[in-house]
Amino acid sequence: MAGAQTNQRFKVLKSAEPTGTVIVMSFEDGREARYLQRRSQMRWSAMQMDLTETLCVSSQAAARCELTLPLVVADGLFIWTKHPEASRLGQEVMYLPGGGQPKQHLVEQQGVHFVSIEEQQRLGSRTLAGLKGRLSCDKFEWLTNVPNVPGRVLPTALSVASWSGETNTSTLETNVAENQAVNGGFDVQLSILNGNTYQIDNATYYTAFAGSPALVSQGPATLVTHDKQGELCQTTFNMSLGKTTQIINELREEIKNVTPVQGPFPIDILTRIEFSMKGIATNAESATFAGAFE
Amino acid sequence: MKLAISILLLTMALGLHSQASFRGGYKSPQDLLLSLKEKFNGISGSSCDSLSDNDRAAMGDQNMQTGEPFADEPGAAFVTVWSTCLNNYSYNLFYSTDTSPELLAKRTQIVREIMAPLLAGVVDEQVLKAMTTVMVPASEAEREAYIAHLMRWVLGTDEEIQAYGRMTDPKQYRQDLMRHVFPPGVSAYAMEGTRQALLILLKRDEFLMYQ
Amino acid sequence: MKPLLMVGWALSFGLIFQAKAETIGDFAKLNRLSQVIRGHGPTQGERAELETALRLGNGARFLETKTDQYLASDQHAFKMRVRLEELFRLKTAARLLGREGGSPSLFESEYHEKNALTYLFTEMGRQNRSWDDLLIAKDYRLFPSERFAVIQGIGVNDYGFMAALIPDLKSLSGTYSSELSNETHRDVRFSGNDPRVAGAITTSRFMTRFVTTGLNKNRKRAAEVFRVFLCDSMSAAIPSTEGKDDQIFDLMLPHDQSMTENEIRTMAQQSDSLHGSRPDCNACHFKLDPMGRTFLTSPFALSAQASPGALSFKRGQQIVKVPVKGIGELGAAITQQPEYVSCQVDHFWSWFMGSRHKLSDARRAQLSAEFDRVGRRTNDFIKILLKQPEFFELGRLMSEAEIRAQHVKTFLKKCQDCHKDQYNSNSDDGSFPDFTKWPIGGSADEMARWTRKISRAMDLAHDGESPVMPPRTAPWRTSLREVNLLKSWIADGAPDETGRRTVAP
Repeated sequence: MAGAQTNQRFKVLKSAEPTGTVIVMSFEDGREARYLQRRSQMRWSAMQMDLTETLCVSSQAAARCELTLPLVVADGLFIWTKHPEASRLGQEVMYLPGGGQPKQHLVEQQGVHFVSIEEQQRLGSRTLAGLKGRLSCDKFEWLTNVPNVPGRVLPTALSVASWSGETNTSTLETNVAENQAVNGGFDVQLSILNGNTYQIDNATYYTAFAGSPALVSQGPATLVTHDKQGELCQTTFNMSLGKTTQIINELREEIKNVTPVQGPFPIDILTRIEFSMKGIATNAESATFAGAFE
Repeated sequence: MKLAISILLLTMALGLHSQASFRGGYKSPQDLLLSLKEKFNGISGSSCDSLSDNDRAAMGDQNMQTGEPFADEPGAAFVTVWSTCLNNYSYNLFYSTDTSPELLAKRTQIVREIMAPLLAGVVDEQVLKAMTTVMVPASEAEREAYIAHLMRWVLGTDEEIQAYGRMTDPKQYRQDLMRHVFPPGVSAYAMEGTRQALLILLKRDEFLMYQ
Repeated sequence: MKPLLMVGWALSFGLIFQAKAETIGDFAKLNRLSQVIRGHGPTQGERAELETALRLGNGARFLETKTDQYLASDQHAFKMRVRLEELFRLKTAARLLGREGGSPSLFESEYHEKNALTYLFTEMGRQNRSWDDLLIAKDYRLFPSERFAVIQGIGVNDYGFMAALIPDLKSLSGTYSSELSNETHRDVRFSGNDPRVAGAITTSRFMTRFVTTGLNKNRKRAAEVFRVFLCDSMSAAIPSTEGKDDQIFDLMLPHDQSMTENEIRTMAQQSDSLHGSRPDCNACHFKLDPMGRTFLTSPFALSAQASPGALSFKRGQQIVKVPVKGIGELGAAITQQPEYVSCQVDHFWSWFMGSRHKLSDARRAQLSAEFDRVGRRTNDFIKILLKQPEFFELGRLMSEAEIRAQHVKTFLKKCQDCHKDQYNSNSDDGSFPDFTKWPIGGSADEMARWTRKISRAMDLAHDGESPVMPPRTAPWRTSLREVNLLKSWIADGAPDETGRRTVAP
């Protein structure tokens, strides 16, 4: 039966257990598969942000900042728990797209998960261990309008009207690659942690994409805030993800040696299943794919 | 002969740069395809029903970056795209072996319109068969009348044609076209000559351009 | 065969025949109405109906009825949509009207079919909406277009775009929600004075087409608004003078991303003397920057927070400046300017009259008054245009001189787009002459001077090998064909449409 039927409809079911959730893929023909996951350690990744231009202060207030977000690498697999062929029990569920294409894993392998404002939006206090991102700067005048002098007192809470990140990509309209702001957040709320660091608490709105969290960008980031006169103004930073890329590579190596566990899992960002073969993120959806599941 | 006709058709498309450009008068790519679809009641199905990026450039769509057409005037690429669509429609109309009732009904309706003077008295169920066996009228006068009917079906009345300012003498043109697709003194089945006449007429400015 | 070939060749190389401004007959009128409104000719049935109407003496009434029918048709609505897509420099419809579904390779056209802007464009013709709605509409039909989100991978659809204003809009796209929407669409309406919302220019498709960056500061969006609604095309180019190109270029487009603090400070200090004081830069920036500010809080989606700015432009020697609280007020301010009205009249004229007939200033003013009189309603204004005497004039072929002059002016318009805003220290009023109005500068001597300057700037003597115009930073380049066109035109004495030399031999 395996591989014979295409266009199989299935549901991803989550049953809440006292300490977390179990994820089961249930097919109409009675086959079932259970989700196993492996996770790396959580690491803090610091992304360098170098101020290139600000219209918020009249004197040039060059600043060096860091955006620090918790980062985890995780992936998983589905193992057949109910299958008419006994030899398939305990084996990984693979997707067969057909047309001579190779088999695919269901879940993105070694997926990178930043904890960013979108997780706050969706999960609130259940965000990974309650962790939140941070923004540290050697000078905060561009954001706070408080000059960088000894004894300065920074505001305890702030809001960034718009935080946008750029990338070089094409859109369906022109099919021409160009730099463009594609992700970020509105009304990004910050609260002071210490003399040089704000915690990124939340945002009322965010835009993010698979593999591109709200506040992370390869291209420049632009923050719209208020100047001393209360007028909106913008500050632009160059982003550097070198160190982050290194951490990701290390974590990917790390999980190669981790044995997948079958849960129950804490209900956090990592319990969202992303089916890599179609790039669809789905949590508790039924779906149909043109290929077959083996 | 074929070479002469091809040269004629190509020149008619290319040489008209001196009078019209994509900006100056040719229909938009969408209207070009719509005109065909309307004329042939959509019998080509999904073919020539949408624009690929390559086709739209050849057919005079604008370059989004500049706001100007990709090409100044219709060229060989335009002729290729347009000829392909015309062949699709004419093949489906005259030679399709698809027996789906919907397509048969559409073909019957269009063939009856196009070949009306030759199919008087033929019932609907026999139209597609009669189309393959009916002969061109023997007399020149009747042939010319038939060509006039085809011209009217594709391009409209003489008044409409002359409003484009390109054909000064429709009667002369009719006679020339008639002699080309139905050579004098030759008895022939009407279908292929009709198809040739349609292909020639559908490449004229009076079909491709706004007035 | 021979006569047919001769006919064909003659047509191909262009028959020239002079005709006085005759009006076409009724069948030709029906044809023209059908072509221009619907995109294809009349049906055989419609011709038969016209024949009957003419026999009964009701030809004129029949044509009026048909006009109304055509304007109420889906084909007209589709055609207006395609015209607007062209005007806004968007990708025009890939799928024909009424075509549902499509092969997988046409997935992208699903997005183009199902989005708020396409819907608004279609409604302009379908519902006879006020043309001003392109700038002031507060109602939208939003589409989730989830498949777009999956395939595109990046970029927001309507739901993601407006989710900051309507929080229960859930979508996979952009907001990266885990929930799929099960809606096919949603109709939303904002209040009439909402400062954040402005018709076409606050839609996902518009802002995705005209993206922004920290460096660009929404000037691209502002330039588009100026071009479409005020007929003011601006080119982002700085002339190659004073040997300072590289510094200006670096300022505009910094290509070395590891600038030190000292480098930033030095550049900024230089920037004030280079960039801020250059009249050439100010000529466009004083228009673009205040308008760009209204988009400040909405880089990738529409923000719930409006951003104030201004509509700022030149009217003759006067500066017009209208402060606005956000994009919504900007749209309304634009619709109140006479330049907006005359610009939209120009668009309609070119759509329905084609390039055959030039619109004089007097006629433009007259039609602008008509545009206002009918409440700027799309179809009502089209009906007025269709009653203009030029619409039913007998077509004529253009002469070779007219064709060449048209091509030259099309080319010089590109130069004009930049130079019109440039400061000319050698002229009394500081402006450049209009290169598309001949003789340039108003006299044969000035025409000769300017054609010599153009020839040198474009290096026509060496077939355009080392031109200084267009400048390196311009978004377009001169083709060899255009070089040859200009060269031969200047060599022939820069003849106008009648073939008369505008430069003394």
